[in-house]
Amino acid sequence: MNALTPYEQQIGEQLANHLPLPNLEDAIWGRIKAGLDADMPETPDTGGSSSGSGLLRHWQVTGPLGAFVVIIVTVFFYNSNQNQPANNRPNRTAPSSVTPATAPNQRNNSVPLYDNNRKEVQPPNLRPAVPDSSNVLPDIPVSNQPLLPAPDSSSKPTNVVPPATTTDVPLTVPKKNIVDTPPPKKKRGVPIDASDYKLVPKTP
Amino acid sequence: MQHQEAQIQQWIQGCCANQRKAQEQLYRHFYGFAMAIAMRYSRDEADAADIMSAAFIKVFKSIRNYDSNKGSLHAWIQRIVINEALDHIKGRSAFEAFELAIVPEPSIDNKAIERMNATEIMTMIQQLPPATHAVFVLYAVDGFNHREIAEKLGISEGTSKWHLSEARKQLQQQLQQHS
Repeated sequence: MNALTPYEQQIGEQLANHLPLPNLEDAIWGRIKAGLDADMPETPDTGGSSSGSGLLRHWQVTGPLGAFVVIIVTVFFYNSNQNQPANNRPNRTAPSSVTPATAPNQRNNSVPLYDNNRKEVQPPNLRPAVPDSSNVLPDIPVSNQPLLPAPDSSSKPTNVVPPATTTDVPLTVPKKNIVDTPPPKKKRGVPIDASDYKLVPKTP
Repeated sequence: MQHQEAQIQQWIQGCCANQRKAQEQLYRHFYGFAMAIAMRYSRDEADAADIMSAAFIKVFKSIRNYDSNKGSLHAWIQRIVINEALDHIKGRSAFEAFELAIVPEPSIDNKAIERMNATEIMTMIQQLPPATHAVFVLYAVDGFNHREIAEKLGISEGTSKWHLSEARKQLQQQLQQHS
């Protein structure tokens, strides 16, 4: 049963080597080509290497998608830059209103003495609520200090000023004032009034 | 010979890139080899054409998986065509389970076979039942043993032996009629 008989060997040799083949080569290729076109369409780049055509197909798929992503990211950043100053202003002014405790002191330390011209450049929200006439420099809001709550251990933690915000306000506001206003000129010479120019006859 | 191998490697690379020209050249190069396999498992030319087209579509779809270190391209294509032919046969006829009873081997006149040409032999084999036809060709022509045939067809070795015995008996009867 397991051995080939002589006639089976003859049949095998005849079928393997002498069987006439039908002339269906072109017809079968047409069916194969149709099946391949349906299942795996040919890429336009047929002359290139395998890696080149694969790369081209890769870029054909990912290229428009990548361009779309770049456009979306660009529009997003453009809009975020347009909205960013409006969003940041309240964040910077909010701590200044909460933390006036150290702001006037630091500004007094960092800013030189002002003359009357300085009133024009002071920000309105930093003006003292109650001016103090006894103060030597009335344009500096030193009078804000009495409005602050006194340091108390029983005070709520929400009133505690974070150190980062306390240094933020005086660093920005006085610098603008320094830049915008010229430093006060020191008066030179002896003060002269109208009486100095009065002609008096020389007494003998 | 080396030039032909280099040409085949170039076609394989083109097939991996899904180039129709390389696929057509590879198909035409292996047409005779593959068609002979499909013909001996099929009932007629149309059946063979169905096997060929389905087999070569599988070849081109899976040619990236072909490893030349594991075997020749001829053997790889032969295995695909045979498997496709067996799928066709299994699709149109069930392989019933038979257990081979011990029967005497039929005596076949070798001279009667010698007088027949390949076409007459093929016509005689195509008259066998499809399952018996497949087992006989797998065993007598393509050299598979009963264990391998049983694995390919999903049957037992006893059933494979039964189909081979049936093929021998029917061939003997046809040869007696032919002579």
